[in-house]
Amino acid sequence: MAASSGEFLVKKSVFLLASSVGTVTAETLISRAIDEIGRTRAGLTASDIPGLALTLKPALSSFVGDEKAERLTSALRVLVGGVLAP
Amino acid sequence: MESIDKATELPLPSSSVRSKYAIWRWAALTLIIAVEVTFGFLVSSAFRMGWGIRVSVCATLACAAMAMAFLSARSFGRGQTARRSWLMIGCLGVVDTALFATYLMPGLSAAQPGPVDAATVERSGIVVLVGTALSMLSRFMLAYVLWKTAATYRKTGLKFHFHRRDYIAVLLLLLVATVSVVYSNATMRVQLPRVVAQAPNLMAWFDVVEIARLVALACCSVFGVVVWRYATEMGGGLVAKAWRSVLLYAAIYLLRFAYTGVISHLVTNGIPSAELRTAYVLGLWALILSEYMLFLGASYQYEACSSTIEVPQELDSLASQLHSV
Repeated sequence: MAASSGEFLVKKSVFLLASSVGTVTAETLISRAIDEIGRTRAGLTASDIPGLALTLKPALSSFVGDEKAERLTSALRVLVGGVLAP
Repeated sequence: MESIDKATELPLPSSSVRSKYAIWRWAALTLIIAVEVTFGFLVSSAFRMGWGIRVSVCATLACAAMAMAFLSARSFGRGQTARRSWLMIGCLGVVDTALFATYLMPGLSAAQPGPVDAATVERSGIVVLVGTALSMLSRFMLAYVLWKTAATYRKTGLKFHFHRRDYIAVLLLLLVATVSVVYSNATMRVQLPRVVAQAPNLMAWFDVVEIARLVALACCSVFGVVVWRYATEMGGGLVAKAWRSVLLYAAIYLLRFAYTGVISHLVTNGIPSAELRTAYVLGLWALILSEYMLFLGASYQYEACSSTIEVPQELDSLASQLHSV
């Protein structure tokens, strides 16, 4: 069965954050952020990623600091969301 | 092709390329071993010189850990728990090393020939007492840091399962803490024989400080196991490595305290001390190892806060893998 595009975006996001905060933490933070933006994992689209990144940033910064959280969420927007400018 | 259902099943970014941070960690370990081998075995140095060299090794590690912990703290915004936590963690190694160094004060060593003025002994004893009190306070600081960190991680929604082995770990740590405090009395009397003889009033204060330390160590043991559990359940990553290293630092330091206490108890009970010198050296190695763990912890957190983002090479293959299922 093919993975949904939303699930694919979540896994790609987790993959990007994993080396800093760990896979389980990344998945937990992303799942919470998805809930907060009023979306579901399966229904997540690339256009939701900038909002997701914005919601995710405060939680990420408590693990890796403000600057790195900014860089990670920018990478998320560009590499996962396909947004060229932050 | 097999599908990937959970994030925990994802292939982690390749670690085949060593980061510059890893090179520094290995360099520090190599330097410590080189110094220990040179001055511990090849050169039969006097007690004070050997002690001094080990103080220098600890001081180097503590200062490096402090610098990285402070830089990590600066990455967090004002008012954030992690900022305060890493500022406090940065001070721990320096306090430990300062306490270690106070034993170099004049008039304390039993190896020093001839009589020593009572005022000198008392002055040096007070310096050691202040160092011991600071060390005790640093354990309260660590307990506070661990408590606040556990609370922060709970707020982020990280799952937490306290297993039976965690309760056993807490009980074991409490037991070790109690042993260290019970025998600390013997440690002080073996390491400060002149203070015992010439300034006995100070020894009562040492005992009071050690009892306060037991409370701090008990708190550290409970919160330490909680944070260890959180770090284990993070699913890897640099932040988890940082916390595990800091907790190992605390555990090794505690074990070293208990170990030195037991050895000192044996000495005061008249057991021949020919082999006990080696045993004391093992205690010193444990101290250096604990400082190294603190250095590792600070370096992992610094790397987590400051490293550039590595786009995993596997990201494209992951994409094709997921599209092809």
